Amino acid sequence: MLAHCGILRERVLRVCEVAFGHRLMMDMITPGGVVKDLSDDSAYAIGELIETLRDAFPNLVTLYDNTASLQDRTVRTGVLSNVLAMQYGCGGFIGRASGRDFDARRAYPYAPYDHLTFDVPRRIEGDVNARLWIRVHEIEQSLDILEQVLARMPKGPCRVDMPERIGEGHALVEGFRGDVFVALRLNDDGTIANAHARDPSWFQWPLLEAAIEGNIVADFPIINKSFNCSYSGHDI
Amino acid sequence: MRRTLLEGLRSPLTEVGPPLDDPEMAALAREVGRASNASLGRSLSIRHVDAGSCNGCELEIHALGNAFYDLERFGLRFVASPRHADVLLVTGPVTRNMREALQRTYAATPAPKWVVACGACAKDGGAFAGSYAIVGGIGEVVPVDLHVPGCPPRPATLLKALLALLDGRGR
Repeated sequence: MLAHCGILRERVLRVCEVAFGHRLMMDMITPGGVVKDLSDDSAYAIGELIETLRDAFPNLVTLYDNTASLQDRTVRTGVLSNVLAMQYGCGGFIGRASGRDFDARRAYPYAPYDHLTFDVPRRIEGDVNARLWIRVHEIEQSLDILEQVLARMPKGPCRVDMPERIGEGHALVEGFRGDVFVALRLNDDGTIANAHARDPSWFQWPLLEAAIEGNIVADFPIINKSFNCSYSGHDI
Repeated sequence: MRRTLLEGLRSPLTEVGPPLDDPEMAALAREVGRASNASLGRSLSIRHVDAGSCNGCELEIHALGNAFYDLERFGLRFVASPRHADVLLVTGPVTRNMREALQRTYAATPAPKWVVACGACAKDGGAFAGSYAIVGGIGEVVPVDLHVPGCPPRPATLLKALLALLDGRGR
């Protein structure tokens, strides 16, 4: 199953390279827009990729769903309680697998999500299995979102010049691990006076410690990976 | 279940390795002072060290294991301890917090050993150059035998670099 998911992931990254010029799409988003417009060929390649994923992914999900030995490792393993998830404001699929019904794209809609239709999957069990299912459903939602975006892609420039303005602001966007918060204050000359970036992992690492309590050592890796927290994000 | 697993892998996905005269690999090979096969033959054990990376390089290093690149068919494998390693594959700029850990990892690796610096940050600090939190590139802390360019390097480039290290010219 790892091999199969690895293949699908590689296919996604290769299409990203064709469409955006970078496998991980790093440095593609820039103040005022994106650095490269999507060509018709690229849009077609993404469309094909969506088809491939829609074709291959459900079989893998069925495989997981029908394999008792896998479920034996994931069901009721590494339970994160709803109380703790709420207390820490735990974002992303970890929070949503523990009953916290929050998605920044829906709570504080920003473009393009304010015009898109998507579901925010939620479960209440808080175990490894629940986190896995949330991620499965989020992949399905992401494919729907991609199709909507491709179908409604507006014409025009993909980047505009930013107005020169001083001041202070903050933003909350939904990343794949959860809500990313950034606060920024500019000096009078436009240089950065103060900046703070808060990765969702800030609130998730401490919860991992609570989730592993009472589990056997052999289950630590699977609980850890079901959280999938970022090391570097936490260092920011 | 067996059917699902086998069907998905029916057409071989693994790609042929880079040709001997690949220019990118030749350029990497020129950087390597001493090829590893003289003392170690056709196999390398690699210990990955994150000295302060953004984890972009880690994603691409991890991709080397997928069915398209299949690193292990070349005799290259990742190990869990520097004591088992021939090569340290180091990512990121060296943060002040990781300087001593990197030095100790290097000291714990038995000779003959090679250090491969992976990515733009590993060369000179990259996007983090000049930060109060970093020492600099990997070369500031341990001797580097080969630098793999890219932010992050593509898995194909990483593969070429490791093969170049293996015998100084590829395979």
